[in-house]
Amino acid sequence: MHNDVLSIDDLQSIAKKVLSYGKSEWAEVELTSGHYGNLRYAANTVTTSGAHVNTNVGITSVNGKRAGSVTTNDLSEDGLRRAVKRAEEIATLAPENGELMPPLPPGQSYVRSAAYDQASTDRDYAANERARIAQLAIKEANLRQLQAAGFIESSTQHRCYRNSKGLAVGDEHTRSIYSTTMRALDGMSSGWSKAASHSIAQLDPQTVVRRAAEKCVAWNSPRVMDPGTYKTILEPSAVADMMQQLQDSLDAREAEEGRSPFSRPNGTTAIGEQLFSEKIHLYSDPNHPLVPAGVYEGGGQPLIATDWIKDGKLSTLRRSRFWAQKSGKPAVAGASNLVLDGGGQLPEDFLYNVKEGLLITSFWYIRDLDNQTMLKTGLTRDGLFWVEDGKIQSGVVNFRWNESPITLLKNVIDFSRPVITAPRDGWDGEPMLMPMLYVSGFNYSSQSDAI
Amino acid sequence: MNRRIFIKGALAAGAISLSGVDSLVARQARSKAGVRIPMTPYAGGFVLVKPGTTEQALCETLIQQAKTSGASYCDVRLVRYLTQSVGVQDKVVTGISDNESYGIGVRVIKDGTWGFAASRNVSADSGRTLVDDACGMAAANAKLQTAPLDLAPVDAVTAEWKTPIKKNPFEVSFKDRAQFLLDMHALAATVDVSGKKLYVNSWMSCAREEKYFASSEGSKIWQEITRIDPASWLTVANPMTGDFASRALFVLPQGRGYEYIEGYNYKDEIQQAAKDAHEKLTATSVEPGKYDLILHPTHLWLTIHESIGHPTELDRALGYEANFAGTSFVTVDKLKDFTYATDLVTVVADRTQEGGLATVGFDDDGVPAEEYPLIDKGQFVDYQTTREQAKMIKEARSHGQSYAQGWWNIPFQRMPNVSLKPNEKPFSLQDMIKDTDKGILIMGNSSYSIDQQRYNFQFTGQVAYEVKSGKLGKMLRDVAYQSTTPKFWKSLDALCDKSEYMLGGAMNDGKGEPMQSNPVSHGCPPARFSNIRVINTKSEAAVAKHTSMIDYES
Repeated sequence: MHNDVLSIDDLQSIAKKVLSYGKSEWAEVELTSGHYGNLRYAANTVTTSGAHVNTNVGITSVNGKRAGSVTTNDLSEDGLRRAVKRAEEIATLAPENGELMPPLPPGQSYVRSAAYDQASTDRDYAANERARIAQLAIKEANLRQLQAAGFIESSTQHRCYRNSKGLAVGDEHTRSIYSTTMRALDGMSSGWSKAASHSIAQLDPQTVVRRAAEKCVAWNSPRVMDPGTYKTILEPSAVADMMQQLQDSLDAREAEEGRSPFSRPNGTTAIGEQLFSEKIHLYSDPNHPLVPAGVYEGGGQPLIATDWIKDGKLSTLRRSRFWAQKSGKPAVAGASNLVLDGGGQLPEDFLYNVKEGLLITSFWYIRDLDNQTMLKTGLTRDGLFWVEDGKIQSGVVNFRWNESPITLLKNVIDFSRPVITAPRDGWDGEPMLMPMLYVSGFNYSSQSDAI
Repeated sequence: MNRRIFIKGALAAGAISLSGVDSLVARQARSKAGVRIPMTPYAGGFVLVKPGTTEQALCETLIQQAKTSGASYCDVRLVRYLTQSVGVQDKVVTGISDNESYGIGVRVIKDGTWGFAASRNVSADSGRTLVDDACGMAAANAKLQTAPLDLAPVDAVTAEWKTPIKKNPFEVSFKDRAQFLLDMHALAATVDVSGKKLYVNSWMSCAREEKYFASSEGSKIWQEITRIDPASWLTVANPMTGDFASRALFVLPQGRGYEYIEGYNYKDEIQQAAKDAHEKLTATSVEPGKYDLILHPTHLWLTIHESIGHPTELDRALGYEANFAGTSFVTVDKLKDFTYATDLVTVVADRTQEGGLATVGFDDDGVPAEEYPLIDKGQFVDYQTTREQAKMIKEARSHGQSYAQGWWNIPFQRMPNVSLKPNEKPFSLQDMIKDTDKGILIMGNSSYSIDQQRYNFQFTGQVAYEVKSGKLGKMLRDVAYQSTTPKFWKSLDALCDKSEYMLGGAMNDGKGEPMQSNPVSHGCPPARFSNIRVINTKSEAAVAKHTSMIDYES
């Protein structure tokens, strides 16, 4: 067939071929082949839908400490030869990179990940599912006299890495995401919900649609509350946004060079410090049964189960191979997913036990304010509610907030069972497993009239 | 702007390419899926499609095939993206990369509904599958559509357009580009930072889009769009205390060639930036309160982007972005009936602006670029539109704001260059400072956060200075300002003239699902906004202790 996703075997044989063209001291090749289908709807009608297939090859050629990198999607023999030649030319032109590390040798061990759902790779089935989900949302919106907007994407992706020292690895994954917004016809109320999974069949669109619609209806005639600090319940997706922000700063070099919230005087770090509530356990695990994810990162480095925060103490920071060598400590690879452990109750049941607080559905436009404290600013969006005695009392007009993910995890009173979710703001990663969090304080700085 | 894309930076961005090294090699190779169409080589890159080539014939074949399959409209985009990046960290060249991506996107309207399919495989066999897929998708989705699409008319043209550059950045050797940044870093390192550690990161990337567009209405448009994207940021850290402060260079991407790099005052500014980062460590923390803000063009461009560029996007106003980027407080009923700003404010949408990142000859609907006002003397007069949208607000023609990030993406309404016209009366920055009693001058962009209807915002700059009794005073730190869009623009009470006009911009404005990046520029002179609420980001970090100080705006 034309326009097929290439198998890992096909990708490995292209990689082998590319390496055979090279004359440099060593080289590495990374390939990604994928099919991506999507559908958007808005104002209760389908707006756009599309699909594309692509295969990209990235080649790095190295002589001594000089490296050149090229990517191309021209897989013809001529195209590949040209790309190799170009990478080698750049390597000749490039000044020395003192931080360049030698390639990883063969014999690395990789975990197996179950991130591939065969059914989701059937393009016709996936396209039908996308249309069915859109239809379901539009029907519900019409029934309730609301306006629906939403997005469904499903993709299949195969990857491989190979270097001239003989290390070879590949993995494959499928991913589906669905999110929808329901708005009142007059634009005076809005609700949102999202689901993500490696399997399109597990998205449970009925629940997503119902939640978004119920939030929209419940938010009508919101009360105005003064800015200030309130006890707060964060839905799993909002927690995922904050954890993604936190993850960005979990870097040993930045910390030891004095450029991170985890920096301590004289090149030391906060590892081992009780920075968070002792309930907190944040980790990544590519082989997690509920959120399986990629098993290697750049350079073929294996990703393994890693505790980032354990018993509320910062346990480790990712440490690049260069920085590991320089600092005389073992390298620590990054994360392809994130899991925050929680309690036993499902989020809906957990809410019944909350005495009082603001319930945040999702965040928007999170940006840095102060890097030393990891202070972020952002907004609440599509469903902020006042909860009392386990019940939603009313919608609340949105807030801008200024808060740090570090403070957030310090202030955790309790949490629900973690569920599969994904961040809302600027995310293009794997699904995460996050609980609903109940925190003793969250800093709201001004009212935001946006709906 | 999209934060994550920004962090990943140019080195991770998708696409780039071959320069002329192998240009004499004919590209006749067979790929696995059939005959790949050769491209015509020329020095410095590849000319993608010229009238009469095989590729043009392929596009016409696919358009015919779509018509035969019942499509009422079809366009085919063949695009090659070339991107080259050089990254330097302190004294080390951390990466040189050369990226290329080439592919074909087929868009159809069938049964009044869009369908789209794209592939890296540019061949007749692949193209046939794409047309079938796009038509199949459109027919299937038509059941879910409430009203058939009705495109505003456009004249068919055969045309060529190229970004007018003086020096092709792809022809400057990687070595020279890397050496340039290394030299700048060495200059920064000469600045005395009192024994503290100075870290400097830079990158420079250049990007070219070679695009052929053919439509069932007879347009045949070839464009070559060149952009250059330099950036540097400097951090001074005190290892003893763990304190650190950063300052980004004010240099911003533009739709120009390497002449932009050579003409920019890098040498002075990178040293100034090192001094600024150092000074910031011990600068006075701002006293929260109300101030008159003098916003320098290096800062104001992004404020314009967020609070005027986005709200005047018609797709947002119509609810098409409700699930992601958001809607707009500027609802359709406000068109030609809303005071957005003081009458000093005229803002134009302009895809013809010299040096603009969104400057093109034609948009991805084949509509010619034009300049027109969005805000005229403070009054909201028009939206950004595409062929799909124009008739929805009863306009006869599209303003030409359709753009797709890649051959693999569906074009949709994207922001053109949106720029604030300078004061026609002479008024310098010096005059403005002299005229200000209690103010703050803010330069450069740092943290920008605005709500999903583009109403409530909180922005920060790279450096801020006290302005007291008509004089520029000491540096301030921890400055953020908060306001709401119309209130803010109605508080503009002074505007500088064209001698102070500058063009800012970003490569990575994010919108749509899947999210697409859009390069866009914003020109403006310095402007003053009276009585704006300033908060202190450090005291915000102390959380609950300071809540009593916080007032709020309704």
